Amino acid sequence: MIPKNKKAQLGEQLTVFAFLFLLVVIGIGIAGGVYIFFGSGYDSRQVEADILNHKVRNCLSENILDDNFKDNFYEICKLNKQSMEVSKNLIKICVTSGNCIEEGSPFFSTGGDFVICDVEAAKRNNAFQKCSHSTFTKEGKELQIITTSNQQIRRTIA
Amino acid sequence: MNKKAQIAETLMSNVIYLILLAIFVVGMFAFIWQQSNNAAVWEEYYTKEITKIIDLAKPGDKVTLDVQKATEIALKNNVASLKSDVFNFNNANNEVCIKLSQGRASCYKYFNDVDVIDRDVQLGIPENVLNFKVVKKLRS
Repeated sequence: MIPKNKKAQLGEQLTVFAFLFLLVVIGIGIAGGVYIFFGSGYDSRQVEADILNHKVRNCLSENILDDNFKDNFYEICKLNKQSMEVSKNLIKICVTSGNCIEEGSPFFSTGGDFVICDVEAAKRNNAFQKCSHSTFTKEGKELQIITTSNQQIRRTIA
Repeated sequence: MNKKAQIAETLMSNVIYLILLAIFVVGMFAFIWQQSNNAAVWEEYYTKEITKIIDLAKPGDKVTLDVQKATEIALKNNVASLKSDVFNFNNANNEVCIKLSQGRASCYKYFNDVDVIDRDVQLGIPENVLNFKVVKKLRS
């Protein structure tokens, strides 16, 4: 074996920095991946909007759709109005075969902005509310139900 | 340098690299393990899953849920009482609150107009389970 000179020894010792740099890069990559995976949280808004839609659909199919139904919607459908307002759950019911989102005089509406439900790009963007849309026919009328959820987890001091 | 000294030197530098690599791998595993056991992540998961169950429930339903993972994390984080501190149902606000670490809880609202009563955490049957009953809303 040829004995190493000082330059070769120094070069060999410097490779440890390249090795450490590689570890740091891999570490940052793994930490970033873990943050992306766990950091975004557990999003159940779509399921929540779907459950609400399902409940409203069942309620509509089981009741007579008159003024009394409209006036006592929350009591009849067993929904908690206060909780829905705080957690930003919206409902819109239309008796039309047209576009319910743009409908100016729906059968029932909690109010709020439904326009985002029609934007294709917003459906894939988690920054926007999640929407659920269903249609069914009752007594020859076509009913459309749009429900939304945009509730966020609340962390409190306990 | 003689041959023996050169071999020893090569071996030494390789051993140092291997030790550094081992420390790095162990550190990364510890970091990922700690993140996957993160109380906030599991609080959010259990809170939202229980809310979904309540939203779909009808008055009279009795629910039994496996909460082994939640209780393990709560124990690890020294939450005072598994029976009374971890799972809380606030009927006045229609809210489920779960606390898996000291000082903070995660809360989420359900829209179903019901109350949750008879909350009970049963330990070791063989897993830890949470029992509760969904009843018609009692207006005060």
